[in-house]
Amino acid sequence: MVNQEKEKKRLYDETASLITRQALTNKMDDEELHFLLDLLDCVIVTGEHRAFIDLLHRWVNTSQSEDTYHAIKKVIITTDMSDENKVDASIQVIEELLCSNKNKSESKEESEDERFLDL
Amino acid sequence: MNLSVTQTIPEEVLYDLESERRVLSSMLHSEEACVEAYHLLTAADFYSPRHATIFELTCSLFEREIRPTYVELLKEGHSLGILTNPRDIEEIKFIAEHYIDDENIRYWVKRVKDKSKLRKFESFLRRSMQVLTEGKDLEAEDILMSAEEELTNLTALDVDDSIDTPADMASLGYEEVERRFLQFKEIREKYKGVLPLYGLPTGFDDLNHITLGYKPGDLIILGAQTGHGKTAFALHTARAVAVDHHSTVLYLNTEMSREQIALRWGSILSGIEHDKIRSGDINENELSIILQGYSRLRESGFYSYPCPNLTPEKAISIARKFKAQKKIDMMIVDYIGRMDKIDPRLQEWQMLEQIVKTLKMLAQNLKIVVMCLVQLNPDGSLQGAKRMKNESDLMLKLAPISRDELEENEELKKYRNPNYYLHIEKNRDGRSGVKIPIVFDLQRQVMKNAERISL
Repeated sequence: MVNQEKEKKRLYDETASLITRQALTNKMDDEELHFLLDLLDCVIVTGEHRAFIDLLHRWVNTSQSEDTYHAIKKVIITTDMSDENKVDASIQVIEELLCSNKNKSESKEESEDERFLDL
Repeated sequence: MNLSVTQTIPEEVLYDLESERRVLSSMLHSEEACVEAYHLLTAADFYSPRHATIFELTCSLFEREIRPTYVELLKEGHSLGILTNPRDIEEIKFIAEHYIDDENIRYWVKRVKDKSKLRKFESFLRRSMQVLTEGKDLEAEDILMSAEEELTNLTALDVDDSIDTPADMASLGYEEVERRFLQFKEIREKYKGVLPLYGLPTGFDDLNHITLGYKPGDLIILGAQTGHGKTAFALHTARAVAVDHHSTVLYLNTEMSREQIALRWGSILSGIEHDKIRSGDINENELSIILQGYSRLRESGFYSYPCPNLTPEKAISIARKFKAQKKIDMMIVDYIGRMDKIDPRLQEWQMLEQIVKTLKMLAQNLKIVVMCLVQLNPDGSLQGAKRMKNESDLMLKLAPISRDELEENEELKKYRNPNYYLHIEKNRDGRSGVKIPIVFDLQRQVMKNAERISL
């Protein structure tokens, strides 16, 4: 148990350092840095906002248009993680964006099928 | 002769990076360590500029009530543009990961402080050496006098201490009198003679008049027998200072629960009997009045800290934390007889004396008013009273007026329904030996000056 705690702490420190180094080398901006460090606290320290974190998993594993990706990213990094209501509001917006992305890709597939049939 | 001070002193004498890291690491892992280091050290005490920066960042987070963790430090440092180099991150990470044992924080703080003093001494030696080698025309007496003054500052005095010359004292005295003279004149013209307060309001007009308010650095002792209004007096004071005057009060209670304290406020701020509130036997109109009372409390500067196991050390630590984070003007300890002993071999009066001394020092160091409540013996006396009196700036006793006295004392008949005396036993800054008749409504937990009956 003690080793597990130590390992968790090491992982936490390493990840925090890695994120900050990325910011120092201009690979991410201030907003992204703050969001990722807050997220790290949620995942490792507080265990809060499980639904939001699950949604992030879904987001990164879903293919989407560039526009949708950037729209969702904007919503994510501007979410105030200390305010539960704002996190809930963001979840709703991201769900909607992911859903509209799915509908778009389905209709695109359908129209491609129709085009194929026309041919 | 070719002498160089810096060449002859080994580096490890002048700084100790490990102690600096241990202090910083403890601050990142323990609030208690944070409180200690925040009050005892300054950034200038750190040899490493990077450590000094980390200390400043940590203190800045602590002041804003943000727990100074590794991640918070990274965020803060990056936002302020202080973390510019990956080596800065590695240094903070190294500190956060190592030396997390905070049990010896005072030891490590002392080491950092000692090294800082030695560096100042070394710098003094270097300057003196330079004076000797360069200042050929200086008088020996002047060199020695100047060196002596500097050395005295290094050894005998802390950074905050200063010596008042006769001229300083005369100027200060005249400025104080002049300020009060002008203010008095203004008050007399504008407010028809109502005396201005120089400190926090006491909650009693007569006591305000005699003391001119509780002043920063004051230790006030209030004694009362069991069941005779110690807590009511404390909360009456808290109301005057935190609710009516909007200053900030920290209230340490050693025997009541959070719920009990909260319920008392219901009575105090609504004027509705405590028993009715406690039992819930109130109507909707009263409920609405109580709600209005609590909304005043919500906007006030009253911070409550119930702590059944309060020790003098803990009281210091809590006061320092609240001074740093909430800028408290006053701390009320209700009551010191319930505080845990520092040393179990001490007699009760010795323990009380030690606690009172500690609280007086705290009031002076933090420049706040400290009020402590003590329990009187059944005969109205106080154990260790003389010594306690010596330490206090204002010593008050709250006692019921006997039925006989009410009937026989002609002076009391000039007041409307007095039932308690507030007796000023000692007043460092004014009249003492005065007994103020007051009305203590036990049911409503309200105290006030007894009104004079106009003839």
